[in-house]
Formats: sequence, C-alpha cells, structure tokens
Amino acid sequence: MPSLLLLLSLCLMKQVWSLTPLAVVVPQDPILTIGASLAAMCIVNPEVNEDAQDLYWTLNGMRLPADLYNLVNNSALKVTIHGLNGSRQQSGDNLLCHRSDNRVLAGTCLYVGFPPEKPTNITCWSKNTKDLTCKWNPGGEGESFLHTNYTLKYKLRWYGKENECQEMARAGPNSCYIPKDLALFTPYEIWVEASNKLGTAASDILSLDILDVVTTDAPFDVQVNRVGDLEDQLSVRWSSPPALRDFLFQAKYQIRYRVEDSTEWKVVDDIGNQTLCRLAGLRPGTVYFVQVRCNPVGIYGSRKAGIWSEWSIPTAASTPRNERSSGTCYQKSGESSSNLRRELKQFFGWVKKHAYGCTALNIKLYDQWRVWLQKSHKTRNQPSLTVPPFLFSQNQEVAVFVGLQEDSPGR
Amino acid sequence: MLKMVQELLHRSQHLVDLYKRQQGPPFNRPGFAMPGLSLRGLPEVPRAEGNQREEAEDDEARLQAEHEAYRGLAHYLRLVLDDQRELNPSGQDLHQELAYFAVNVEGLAVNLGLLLRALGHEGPDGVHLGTGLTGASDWDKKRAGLVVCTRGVQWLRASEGDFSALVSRYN
Repeated sequence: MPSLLLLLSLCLMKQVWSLTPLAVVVPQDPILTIGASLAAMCIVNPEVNEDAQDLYWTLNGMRLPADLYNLVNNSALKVTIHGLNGSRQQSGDNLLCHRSDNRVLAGTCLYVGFPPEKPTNITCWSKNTKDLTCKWNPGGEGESFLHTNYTLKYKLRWYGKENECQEMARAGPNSCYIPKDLALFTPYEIWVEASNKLGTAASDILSLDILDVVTTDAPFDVQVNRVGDLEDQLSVRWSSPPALRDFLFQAKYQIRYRVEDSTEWKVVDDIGNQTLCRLAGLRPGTVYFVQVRCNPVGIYGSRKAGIWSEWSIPTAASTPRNERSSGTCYQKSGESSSNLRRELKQFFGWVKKHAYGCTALNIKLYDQWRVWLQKSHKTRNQPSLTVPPFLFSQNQEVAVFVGLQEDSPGR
Repeated sequence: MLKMVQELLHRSQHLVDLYKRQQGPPFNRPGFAMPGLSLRGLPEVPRAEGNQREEAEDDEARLQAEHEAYRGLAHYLRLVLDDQRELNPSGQDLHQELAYFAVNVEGLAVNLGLLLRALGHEGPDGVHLGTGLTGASDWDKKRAGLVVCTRGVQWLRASEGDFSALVSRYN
C-alpha cells in the first residue's frame, strides 16, 4: 500500500514541479477535530539514498519524540500523534519529515479544530429605508481554530429567490451590508450560514419588515449656549436630519450631557419633536459635553418608533460661575418668555426709581411684586411699569420696612 | 528601471518575512531551508564560479534572461496570491504585498521588453509557464510560494547590480 501511495504521489508531483520529489507524506492536508489522533507516514523515494530510520518528524518546528515513531520498512517512517490541539495558524499546522542533516524531505498541513457554532443574535437596521445592515454573534464561547466563512442570506418570506449579502464587515466583524433593492411593507427572512473545513451551521431565521428597523442620521449643527448669566442653565439647539423630510418621518429626540471630567451621562427624554431645549440644574462654572440623537417615528403613517440614531458629535459649553438651582429640562414655548434675570432687572429698576433710599433689597417685596404681576396680567416685556397698588398702599410700610434695616440710609 | 528595481528590492525582504510569518513555524525560524524546486519560466539566477556573474556575459543576454525571469516571476506571484487567499484568507497584508509585487514586476518585465525591442531583439518565444499548483497539496503551495518569493529577491539583487553597471558604463 505505501508503495502505491508513493507512486501516485510521485506522479502527481512530477507533473506539477518537473522534479522528482525526495519523499512524500501521507495523508496530505488531513482535517481533524481537536483531541483526535493522526497517523502519518513519510515515504522516501527509493531513488534517494536515504534510510527511513534516520528520519525524524517536526510539528510546527518542534521535534516529535522518537517514541511516537514506527519504522514501517527502510523507506517508510510512521508517526502517531494523540490528542491534537487546535491549529496554530489558518494555513494549517506544518508536519514535516526531515532527514538527519535537518533538511526537509516532505510535509503536510494539518487542520485541527471544531465545526462552526450556530450563529446567533442577528440584529438589523435600515438607514432611512434605503439599505439594510445586519450583525450577528458567531456563536459558541471559544474559537474553532479553523477559518470560518460566514454568509448572510436573505429572501422575501413567501416567494423570491435566496440572495447572498456581498459587502461583508461593513459595520465591523460579523456584519454585512445590503445597499439597495429592498422591498418595503413586506417581510424578509434573514439568516447566517457558517462553514469551515469541519462542517456548517445555520442560524435561526429572522423575519422582519424593513420599515420596522429604520434609523436615521444623527442631528447636526448642535449648538449649546449659555442662557444670559444664569449659572445653572444651558440652551441646546439642533437641526433635524434632512432625510426626515423625505420619508414622512416625524422624530423624537433625546439629549444626553455630562460634566467634562465625568463618564456618567444624564439623559433627557421628554423633549418630543422640538429642536431646542434648555438644560437646568447644572453646576455653575462647569464645562458640559452635550449630544443629541433622533428616533424616526410615524414612518409612512405608522405609530411605531424606529431605532435611535447615533449620538451627534459632542458639543461643549460652560455655565457661568455662581450658585446652583435645581430643575428639570423644560420646553421653551412658542412665544418669547421672560426670564428671571430680566424680571429682577425690571424690579430693581423700579425700586431705584420709586423706593427712595432702598439700597437694601428685600425678597419679600419681590415676591409680592410677582404676585401682583400675575394678578394684573401684565406682559413681562412692557418697557415701563406702573407702580403696583399694593406698593403704593404699602409705600410707607415699605419705606418703614426698609428703614427698619439698621444699615438703611433712608431710615 | 534601476529605481524600480531598487524600490522592489527594498520592499522584498518585508514580503519574504511576511510570507514566512503567515505560513507558521518552521518557515519563520532562522536557517529554515527548503529543498530546491524547479519552476518552469522562473529559473534560479545563473551563477558562474565563485558565485559571481560572468563579467564577460553579454549585457543583452543578461537583459534577456532578466526579462524572461520577470515575466515568469509576475506569473508565479499571481499564483501564489491565489493560493494564499485560500490558505490564509485573513492575511490581507500579505495579499496586498503580493499583489503589489506582481503588478510592479510585470511592469518591470514590460519595460525590459521595450528596451530589448529597441535594441533590435524580438520578443521571447511563447514560454509555457506553469499552469498553477492545481492538485498540489497545501504544503506544496506554501513551499512553492516561499521559493517564488526568495527567487524573486535573487533576481532583483542581480538586476540591481546589472543595471547599476549599465548606468555607470553608458552615462
């Protein structure tokens, strides 16, 4: 048997190489599972003056001990290896037959590993309904030691031929990208097939409609600004992704922000479809990083939400330095509204003008003034203020009240 | 052409090292030697006694020998690239380097052909190059690839010497 194998191998090699080989190793390119055993034979060309008992074996450059050898005859040396480990490289482990001067006579490549695991957790998303990207988990806890090919396949559920995704690894390893020619309003079946030299495995089938997995671009042109001198607030404004206009999407937004030297993000969820928002309850004199993301809702009239976009590029801004106040993000109304600072300015202006000697301010007076404003339904942008009646009626009380202050010059 | 040869020679050691690394041990061990291999259309660089190329050898004969060698080398580099895409599918660096060499060695062969034609030589006979390593084992493909890469380095070294001599003689 060894002489027949040698004859066949020598004939093949002679055709390819135009040279009579010195020896041949059989089997060539064996494929085995981890832990298996292998018996290989080095058969020396009888025309070569080499005694098989002078030969030795190496596996990946390491000499194999002589007690694994079995001298078949004076031109054939067998080696038996038990409990094979996984292959060291994709191109197989190199099992070589050497003669005594270390020269390589012949060799073979061993492929030792596991069959592929079933791929799992296929997730897909479509950007603006135009395309489809899918990722999957290769399955299993360890590697198979053999190069494994993954093919993502898809077809329309009830009819249509099977297609193979061509653009592998567009969204990282174990991913594939389908750029075009996808039907809407009809379900697809999607699965992944894994194959290596030891076998194949297929994932479960994922069924989806493209419109169920739509995402969009991140909001852009995010601007974060101070709100006057308010030390605990920042205003955030952004532009909606242009694709929303093309696909009858609405959108909802989320903001997240964090202090510069922190990794903890705070998320603001209750923004709806506005493209501006104010953050409150911030620390004075602090740099904040802010990001916005978008979720397309109402795709072609459906009420379902889509998939959140990526976060926008971070935008930084700092709050002015002072004390803090607490609060939550609230939406600005459509009409312009006054803010605390403008109200106070107006009040102080009034006090200077109408309350002589009032160098010390009294917050009670301010509260009373606020109450009066609401009752009188005055707009906050009136350039001049009339004196609230309670202050007229209480003028002396005010003066007295202020005069009662020890340091008041109006006393 | 001298600059092209020098550029390829400069990168060739990186190609050989990369190739050895991808095939696994003992390819990348120092002193690892392979038995000689005959590749139709890509002979070893002819050596006279003392390992020096014969001074008296005709310039044009050398150019013809180099032209044929580079035609063969470009062909075999493509075969090695095909084999490595199967044997080492993740070895993108090696694939790119083999592709780079195949393209540029072919360019070198074309330039040499044009030069020889200008000197009045007809193109070489249709040398039947090896049709590939179909049916060869993975071990034979690995081995052949190393021989192709190292033989290419030998020819580039020989050409650098020859072209430098020609430049200094005729400038």
